[in-house]
Amino acid sequence: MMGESSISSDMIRGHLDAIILRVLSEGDNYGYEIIKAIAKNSDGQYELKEPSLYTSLKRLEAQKLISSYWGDETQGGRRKYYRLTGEGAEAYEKALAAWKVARALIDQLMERQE
Amino acid sequence: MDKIQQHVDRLFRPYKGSKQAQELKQEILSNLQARVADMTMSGVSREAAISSAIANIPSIAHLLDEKPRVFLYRFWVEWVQRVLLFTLIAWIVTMPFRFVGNGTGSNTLLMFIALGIGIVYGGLLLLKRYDRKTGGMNVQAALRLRKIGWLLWVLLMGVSLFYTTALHFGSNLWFSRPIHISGPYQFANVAIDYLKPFVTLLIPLALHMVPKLLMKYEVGEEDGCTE
Repeated sequence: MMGESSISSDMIRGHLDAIILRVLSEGDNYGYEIIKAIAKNSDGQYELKEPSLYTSLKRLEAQKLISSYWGDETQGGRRKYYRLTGEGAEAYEKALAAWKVARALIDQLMERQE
Repeated sequence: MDKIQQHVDRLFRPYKGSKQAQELKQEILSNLQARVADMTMSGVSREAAISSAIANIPSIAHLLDEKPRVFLYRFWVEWVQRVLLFTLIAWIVTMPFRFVGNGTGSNTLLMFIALGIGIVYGGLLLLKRYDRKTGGMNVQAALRLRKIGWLLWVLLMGVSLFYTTALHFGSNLWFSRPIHISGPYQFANVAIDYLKPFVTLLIPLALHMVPKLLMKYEVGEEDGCTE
């Protein structure tokens, strides 16, 4: 069981940026809520670790696919919200289309035809 | 929330003064607080929620840029200025050595070092046109270098103090001949022999300032940076 879940997180890691872009395409959000949204989208099968989230967000922001702003919470630490940019929306559509092509191809290559 | 605050403070202790780190700290803190609030809402005990939140983020070293962009010129000007100041202070403090005779050499050497650094500082001030020049500087390496500097210095001081003691008081221990400090002049000579090695304190001090200054002159999000 343990092995299975670590294999799937290895496979997911390469697509983490697109997965985060999808969450942000549904609205601006901050770190913990992004992790929660991804857990919910996976029906609890996948939980993103916080360090991986920060690494991805930083990369996406450097590529200008997302931008950030601070929330105005009155109590507790300030939340940093992320917003999808125009370029980010385009990048998301491209990544999704590329994934669909790859998935079809890999299916075709891996599944034995009876 | 105190335990979380403590954990986050501990994670970020080496990066005090870094803008980049302060922003990340705020973000991590608010996310951990949100996680604990959410878990306690769904029935997890507060203690368990806090320890699971903390376990989620054990270290932050790889989340910060190894080489953040720094205003190079401003960094070097302030560093050289501070080293110059420390050298001048050391020069002034060691002046009384001259009255005794012992230690005149160290005092003269300090004067020349201060002069040399002064010339470098003057040269730097002439290069004002590079004021907005930035470049990547390795803060982690500077932190390591600082640690090594202090370690070597403490070691050196240990050896030196042992050596001076053996030289002056060895005869008392090994040959049971009582030591004669026959007057203030002899006393001053012995005292200066002990104090002289402390002049090398300048080296770890100079290294000590590097990481802090690097973080001070880090290019923040609001500075428009020029390559």
